[in-house]
Amino acid sequence: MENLVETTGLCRSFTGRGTLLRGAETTRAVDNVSLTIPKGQTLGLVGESGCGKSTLGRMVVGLLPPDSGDVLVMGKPLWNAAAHDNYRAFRQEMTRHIQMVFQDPYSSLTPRMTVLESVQEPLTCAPAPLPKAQRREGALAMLERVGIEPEQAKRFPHQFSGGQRQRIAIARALVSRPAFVVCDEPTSSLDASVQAQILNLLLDLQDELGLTYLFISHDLAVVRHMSDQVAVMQRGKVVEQAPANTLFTAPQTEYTRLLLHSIMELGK
Amino acid sequence: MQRILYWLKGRELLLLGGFLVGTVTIAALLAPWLAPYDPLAQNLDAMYNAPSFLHWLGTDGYGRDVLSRMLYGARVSLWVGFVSVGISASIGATLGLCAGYFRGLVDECIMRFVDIMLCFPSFFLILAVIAFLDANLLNIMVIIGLTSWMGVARLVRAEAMSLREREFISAARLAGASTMRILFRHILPNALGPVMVSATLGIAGAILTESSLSFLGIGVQHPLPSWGNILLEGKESLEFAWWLSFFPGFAILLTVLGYYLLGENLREFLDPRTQR
Repeated sequence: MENLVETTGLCRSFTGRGTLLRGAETTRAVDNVSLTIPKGQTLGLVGESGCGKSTLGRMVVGLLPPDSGDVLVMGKPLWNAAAHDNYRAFRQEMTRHIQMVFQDPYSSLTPRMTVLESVQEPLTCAPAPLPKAQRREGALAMLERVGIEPEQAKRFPHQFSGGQRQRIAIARALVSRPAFVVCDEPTSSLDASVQAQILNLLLDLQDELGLTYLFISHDLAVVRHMSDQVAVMQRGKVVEQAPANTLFTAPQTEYTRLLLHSIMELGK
Repeated sequence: MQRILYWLKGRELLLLGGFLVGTVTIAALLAPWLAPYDPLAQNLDAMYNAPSFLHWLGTDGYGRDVLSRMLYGARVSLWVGFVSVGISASIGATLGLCAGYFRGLVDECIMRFVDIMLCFPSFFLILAVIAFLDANLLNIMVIIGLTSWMGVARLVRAEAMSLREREFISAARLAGASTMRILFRHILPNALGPVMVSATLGIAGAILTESSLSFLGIGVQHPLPSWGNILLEGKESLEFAWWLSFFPGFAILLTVLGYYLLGENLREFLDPRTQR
């Protein structure tokens, strides 16, 4: 199967601010990560908090430049400016194909923009924007698809619940019909009952629009529900990537076994 | 009725400020219709008349009606307040936005410039500049504006620094929004609350500065009336014509108080999330 997205040896470290006596410490947040995501599938990315999942996600969508390595999207290097004739135009074009659903729906929508404006933004900022009426129509249709009525579209984010906001954020991510969406813990700040609705919405939309997901979560049950393939991260490194069923039934590494064991304990 | 009372509860000061500011603004706007006399018409038969039914706030040394002069003076004071704050808020907001969003060298340069500007006692800077330039209304407004933007810049910078880390900025970048769009559509509107507050307070400051300049005789020039220069003329005759200094002084006090009350109580009102 063809790979839509591929990362090749991604590395990224952060340097904390040093003090007078102690030099600055460098943390390797992501260390030589190579992953492949087949077209139309979901790659689940699990690991404990602080293991570099989100950092990896931000590099894959193009928000955070890696120290080394690159992300190949449809075979084109996202971070290698020298490989493109017009890098700016390329990146602008890529915003249409790669989108992200963020963890916290309370901070991922601009407070002083109406929901309709927020959802329209990817269309408004596109390299060759559609006429205004069509952008509006597209945004309203997408909002309706995720379960937000057109009458509610003129409201501001603070007038919605967390689950509704996450629906709006999903509408914004999908309005430009991207091929690839990174979901960074999209349900971890929501109530359990709402979580399932959002997850099923994401699955339905994947079928309808043929989306490819990178699904980041620390919740193994959620990842199992969502993913075709699962990669396990530990301290910046991917320790195991396998089809979901294989990984959950026959984990190959000690760390994965430990993770699986920890939810079994909770389940008892 | 119940609902009106509920709404008013705890907002008396905002309302008082709004009332004072509103009254002065309406008086200034309607000056030509409200003023009983021509503010520049001299009447040497009626010099230093005490307040009476004929001249509500008395007359000055040339027999000009003080009430009429004060109504026209309100126009000058408010105009100076609005224009100079408009200038300072635009400069401050733009520089603060750039400093807080771009950080690094840009931030360092802008903030050091702010520090330099803050080191000068601004009133003496204004005095020095006025000494070289014409003391006309336009120059005064521009100079007050150019010397009072630092507070706004600091405020907006602080807001921008916290807003740029929020996820909606990442989302906007992913949507392909240009830097300009992020600055002015995503960050500025969210930083505007504190700016409005400080602008309102800034109007009070600008009115005071203009009055002080006019009082020193280097602000708005005779015979154009402003509260400051009516006060200046009243100084000469304080022993026998108290109304010449009292009323303009009181008007400055009430207007500045009005803007302060409005500014201090505006913050809560402007934030959409705190609306009841």
